[in-house]
Amino acid sequence: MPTSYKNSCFVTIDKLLFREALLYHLLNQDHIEILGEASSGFDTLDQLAQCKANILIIEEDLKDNDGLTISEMALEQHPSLSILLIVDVDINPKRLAIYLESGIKSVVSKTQPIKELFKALRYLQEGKVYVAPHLFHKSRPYGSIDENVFYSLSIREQEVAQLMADRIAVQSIAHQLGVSHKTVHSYKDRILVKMGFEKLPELILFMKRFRTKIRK
Amino acid sequence: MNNINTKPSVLYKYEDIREKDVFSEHFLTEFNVYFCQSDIEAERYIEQSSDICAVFIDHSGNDAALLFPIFKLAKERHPRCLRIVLSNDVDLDTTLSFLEARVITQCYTKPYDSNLIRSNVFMAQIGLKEQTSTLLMQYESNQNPHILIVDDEPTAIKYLVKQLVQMGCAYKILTATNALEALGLIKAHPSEIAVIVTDQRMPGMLGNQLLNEIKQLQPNIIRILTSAYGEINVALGAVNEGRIFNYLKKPWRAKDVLNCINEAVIEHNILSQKCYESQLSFQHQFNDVLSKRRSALERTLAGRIDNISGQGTLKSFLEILESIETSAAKASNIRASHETLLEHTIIDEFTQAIQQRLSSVDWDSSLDTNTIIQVHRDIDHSLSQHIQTNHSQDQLSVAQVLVKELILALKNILSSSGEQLDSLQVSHVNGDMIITNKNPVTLYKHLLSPLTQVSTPLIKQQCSILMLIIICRKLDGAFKTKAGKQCFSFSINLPCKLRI
Repeated sequence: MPTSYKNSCFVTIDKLLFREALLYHLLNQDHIEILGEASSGFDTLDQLAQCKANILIIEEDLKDNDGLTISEMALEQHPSLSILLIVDVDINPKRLAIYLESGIKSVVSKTQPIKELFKALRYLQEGKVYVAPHLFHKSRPYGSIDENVFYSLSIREQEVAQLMADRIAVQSIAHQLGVSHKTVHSYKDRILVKMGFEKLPELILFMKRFRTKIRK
Repeated sequence: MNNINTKPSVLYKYEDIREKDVFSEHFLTEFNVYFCQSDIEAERYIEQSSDICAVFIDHSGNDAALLFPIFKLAKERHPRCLRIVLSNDVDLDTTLSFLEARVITQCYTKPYDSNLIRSNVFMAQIGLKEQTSTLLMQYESNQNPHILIVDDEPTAIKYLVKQLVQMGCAYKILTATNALEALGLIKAHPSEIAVIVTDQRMPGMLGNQLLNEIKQLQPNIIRILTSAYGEINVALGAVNEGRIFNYLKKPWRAKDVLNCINEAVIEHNILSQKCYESQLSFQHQFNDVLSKRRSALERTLAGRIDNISGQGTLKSFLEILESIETSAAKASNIRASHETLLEHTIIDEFTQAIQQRLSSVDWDSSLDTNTIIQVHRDIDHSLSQHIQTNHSQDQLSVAQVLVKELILALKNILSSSGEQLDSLQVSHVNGDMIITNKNPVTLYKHLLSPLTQVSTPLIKQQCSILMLIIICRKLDGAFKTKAGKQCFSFSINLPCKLRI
C-alpha cells in the first residue's frame, strides 16, 4: 500500500512529558511519520493549515480550548482528517456516540493500555472508525494481567519466556538449553504470538507484573 | 431509537456449526445474538423483533441470489440495520450482484476482522447516520450536475465521453488523468460535481483511495469505481468501507456507463435533498434549544448580575455573544442537547463559575476619583510589565482586586487565541484609558452556540467576558466589541473621572 501521502501524524498533548513519551513510541512504529506537535488547540489549528497530516492525535484536556472543540474546527477545515481523541476517563457509549457523530474516528481513554491506542491508530491509518471491545463491560483495573496467558505456553516456552524477560541474550539462552539460536528465535516468535504481543518489551513488562502478582 | 446502553441485537444465520463457534467467540460478549439456521426462523425473527442492528448471514458459495429474500425483508422492516454476508470467499461477479441489487451493506471474507465489524455494528446501534456533507447547502438540489471521470488513459476517456455525449448524456463531463487533478477539480467546483467515476489503477493515489478521500470531503458525490483487473479485495473494500454506488468492469460499455450515471445523479439529488433538509432541521431544533437556554440563563443570573452592575448587564453580555458567528448546528449538538444533561450543565457550571469570580470583589463599595487614578496606574503597570504583584487577599484594596480580576479576565480571553497580555494596546486619550487588542480574539464556541459538552476552558472564557463587562461598568467605563466569524475585537474605555 503506498504510504507517501498516508500515515502522517500530528500530536497535540498539553504536558511535555506525556507528549514526548508518546512521540518516542510513535517513532518506533512503522508506517507513521510525525509531521508536527503542539501543546495547545490554537497552535494545532495553525500548524495543521500548513502541514498535510492525515491523522491527528489530540487530547481532550487542553488549556486554551478543549480537544473536542479543536477537533470539530479541524474537521471543518480538513474534512478527511482522521482524529483520535485521548480522554481522561472511561467513556460510556452515549458519550462515545456523540464523539463519533462529531466526526472523531476513535476515542481512547488514559485508563487503557497503550496497545489500545496503537490498535486504534492502525484503523485510523485506513480512515476507518475503531470502537474498542470493552465498551459494554468494565475495563480491567490498572496493571492487571491474565495469568492464563502465561500458562497457555508449553513448559519449554515458559522457560524461554522467563529467560528473555531477564534480558538474557539469545545466544546464552541457546547455550543454556542446548539448542541453536535459530530455535530460540522461533520460540520467541511463537511466544509473542501466543501471548498477543508484538514486541519484546511487552513481554518483559508482562513478566514483571506477573512475577509481582504471583509473589503476592 | 435504540437504547445505547444495551448491547446491540443481531441475527446470525449459519450453516456450519464451527462458524457459529467462531462468531460466538468474537461477538457473544458484545452483542445479543439470535442464532438460527433456517430461512423461516430468520424471517420470523426479523418480522417480530422490534430492533435489530445487524443481520449476518454466514454463507459460502456464489449463489448469492439465495440470500436476497432475507436481506430484502430486513431492509424493509428495519431500514437502518446492517445486512452483512460472511463468506469463505466470494468472486467479483457475486460482489457486483450484491451491489446492483442493493441488498447488502457489507460483505466480509474470512477470516474477518472482528474489530471492524464491531465498530460498524456499534455505529448502527447509535443510529449514526452516514456521514453527510459539512458544506452548507444552499439549494435543495444541484442545479447543474457535472460528472467527473478519472482515468490515466486520456484516449480511453476521450472516446467514452464522445460516446456518452452522442447517446445524449444530459450532464457536463469533466475529466482528469490522476487523483490530484481530480481533487483539484472538486475543489474548483465545490457544489457542482454530482458523480465521480474513477479507474482503480493510476499512478500515485489509487482509485479506491481517491474515493475514500472524496467520501470524506464531499459525501454527497456518488462514487463509482471501474477496473479492468477484477481485484476482489479492492472491490470488497470499496463496497464495505468505501460505500461505492457501483463498480463498472472495463472495458466500458457506454450504454451501461450512461445508465449508471443517470441512476447516480438521481441518487445524488436524493442525498442532497436529505442533507439540505437535515441541515434545516438541525438549525430549527437548535433555535428551539437556544431560546430555552437563553431564558434559563436570564432566569438564573439576570437578578444577581444586574444587581451588581446595573440593569441590562446580562443582556448586553448575551447580545455580544449572539453577534459572534460560530459553526452551524450539527447532529452531534442536537443529540447532546436532547439526550444528555448538557443544557443543565451549561447553566449550572456557568452560574457556579461566575459567582465564584464575583465573590472576590466587594461590589457595594464606592469608588472615588483617587481610586480610579490608582486603578489606571495599576493597570498600566501590570500590562507594561506583565507581572502581577502577589498580595494575599486581605491586603488588597477594592481597586487592587478589580485590577487583578480585570487582568485575569484579559489573560483568559487572549489565551484562546494563543496570545499573551503583550498583544494589548493601551492608550490614553484626554486622560481616559483605552485598551484594545491588536488582533481579533478567537472564540470557536460560546454559551449561545451549538455545543456538545461543557469544558473548563469554555466556562473560563465566558466568565471572563462577562467579568470584563461588569468591571467596566463598575469603573463607569464601556466595553465595546466588534464581532466577526468565530472572533471578535474589543475596546475597553475607562474614563479618568467618575460621572457624578
